[in-house]
Amino acid sequence: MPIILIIFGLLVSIKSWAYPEFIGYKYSSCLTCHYNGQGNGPLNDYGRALWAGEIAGRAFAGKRTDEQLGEASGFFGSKQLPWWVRPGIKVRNIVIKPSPGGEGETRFILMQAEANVALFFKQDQSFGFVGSFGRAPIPQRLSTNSDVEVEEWISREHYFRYQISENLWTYLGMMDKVYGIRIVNHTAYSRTRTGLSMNDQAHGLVLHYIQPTYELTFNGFAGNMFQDSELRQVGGSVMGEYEIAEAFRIGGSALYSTNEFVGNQRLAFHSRYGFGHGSALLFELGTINNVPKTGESSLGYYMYSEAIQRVVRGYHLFLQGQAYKDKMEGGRADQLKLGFGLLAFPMQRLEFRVEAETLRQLNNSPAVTRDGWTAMAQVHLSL
Amino acid sequence: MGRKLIFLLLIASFGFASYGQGKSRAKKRTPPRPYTQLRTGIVMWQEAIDLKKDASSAKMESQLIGPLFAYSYVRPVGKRNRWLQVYSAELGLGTLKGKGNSDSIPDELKNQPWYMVGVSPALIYRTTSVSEVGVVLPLYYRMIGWKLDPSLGLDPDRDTSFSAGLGGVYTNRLTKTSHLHVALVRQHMWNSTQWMISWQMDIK
Repeated sequence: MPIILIIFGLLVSIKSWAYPEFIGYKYSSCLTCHYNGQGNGPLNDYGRALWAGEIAGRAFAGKRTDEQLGEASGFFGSKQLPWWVRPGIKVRNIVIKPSPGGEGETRFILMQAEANVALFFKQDQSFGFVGSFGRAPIPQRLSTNSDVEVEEWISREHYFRYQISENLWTYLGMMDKVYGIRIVNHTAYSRTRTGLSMNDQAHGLVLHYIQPTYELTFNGFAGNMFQDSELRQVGGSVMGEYEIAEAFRIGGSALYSTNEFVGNQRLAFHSRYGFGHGSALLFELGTINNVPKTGESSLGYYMYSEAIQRVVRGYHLFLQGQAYKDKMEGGRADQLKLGFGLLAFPMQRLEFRVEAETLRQLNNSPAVTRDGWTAMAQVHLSL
Repeated sequence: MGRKLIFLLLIASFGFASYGQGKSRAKKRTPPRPYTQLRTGIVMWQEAIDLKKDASSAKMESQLIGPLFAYSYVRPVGKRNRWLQVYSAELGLGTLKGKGNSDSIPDELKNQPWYMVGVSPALIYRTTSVSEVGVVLPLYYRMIGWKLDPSLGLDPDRDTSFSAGLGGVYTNRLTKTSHLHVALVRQHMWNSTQWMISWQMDIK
């Protein structure tokens, strides 16, 4: 049965995200491959070609050269589209099995099914618009709550992008907030506990200054305008990254935002280190300070670490370690996660990920919560 | 004359031998010498231990944590010496905590000492000049030195036990001689998953 579930999962889904791990291929900046300089969202022409010609496996490549694969990486393959338009389709599906071998209920989630487009008003792509629209799953905690209306069809991003000078880019519209390492795993503590998960985008302005050895980004945001005004997190964030050696970057982030109920203060240090060809280490350590308008604030921490190892072209093994504590008090539990898996790109446009994750708690109490295990299989298709 | 001839032949044979050795060195790469490593880190796992009190019994989900020390013999093998056979002798000690899961035995135990020795053969592949992945087969013998109040009448299981496991190892070289070592091991007899994170140092 689990094999059937995994195969079904593989057949159903699609998508492509930012991979900060690709610093292991010596691509340090997200702007190289994505229209959004902070990563995530649609790939640009170079990113598509790079995926086809360097990252993805050659299982279905036949006798085509890497160059030919790159040339055929567009939306319609090698057929050239007008310079002003770049469409895309992304679908992503996941099969989750909590407590494998136990009684946990297997869940199938269509996480993303959306169309996106990049429209350009200048041929050098220095001025354009990027937007997406599609179906997003309703979070489990809200799906059973009839008091809350949640839109299933949403736009996760829509923004204008303008290159002010050779090194300065600006983005205006709805985007992910700028903070920390933008990893694919949106259930990681570094994304869920910081309020930066897959549906936490905000309308705002981003200024991105980029040099070969460092980047600096400012983000001011007015919250998600599709939300009720009292819920909107209004504030700003800043992130910097410095390349201390080839494919070795360290950085820091800070975020401050507030709505009528709670203020969010985040601070983080991170590093990305690439080695070999396609292997990397990621590390992020940060604090989470939630300051409610009434009641006590809670200062906690989170940590994300990942080692990814290219095995052969297109196939990578990875190991992730995570930690989180909601309040830095003796009586509170440290939540630890350790996971491992396979990240594979058998061909361009197709990605799958199989992983197992174990959750453990450390606390002062003699009562011990049993280890939790989760097995997951994802398939992403990005056309 | 005879002695001189023998002497000349001896010199010639040494010369040929040296020449031959030189040729042989030119043809074959000198195999890298085995070396040893020291490793020190933390090991942590959880297992369910049976508790008995009078006629009642319960399971105690226990958490064991403590330092782990290892001395390893490393033998590079295979073409280009990218494979490593690693044989480790390990010593661990720490404390255990847990709580009975039934109303008849709700007892809480803390700071119960345990000691563990074992051997861990591993086969490691050098994926890059700084990283390695591999499989490890640890076999452990463990003692728990229960410190209990005799008046409680509590009789926990697993004073001594063996377990064999299978796991994965990842190491990353941080300096010329030191590595970060992470292992995730499924222990069969203890029905548990061990997490290990260590600092490993090469000793030439």
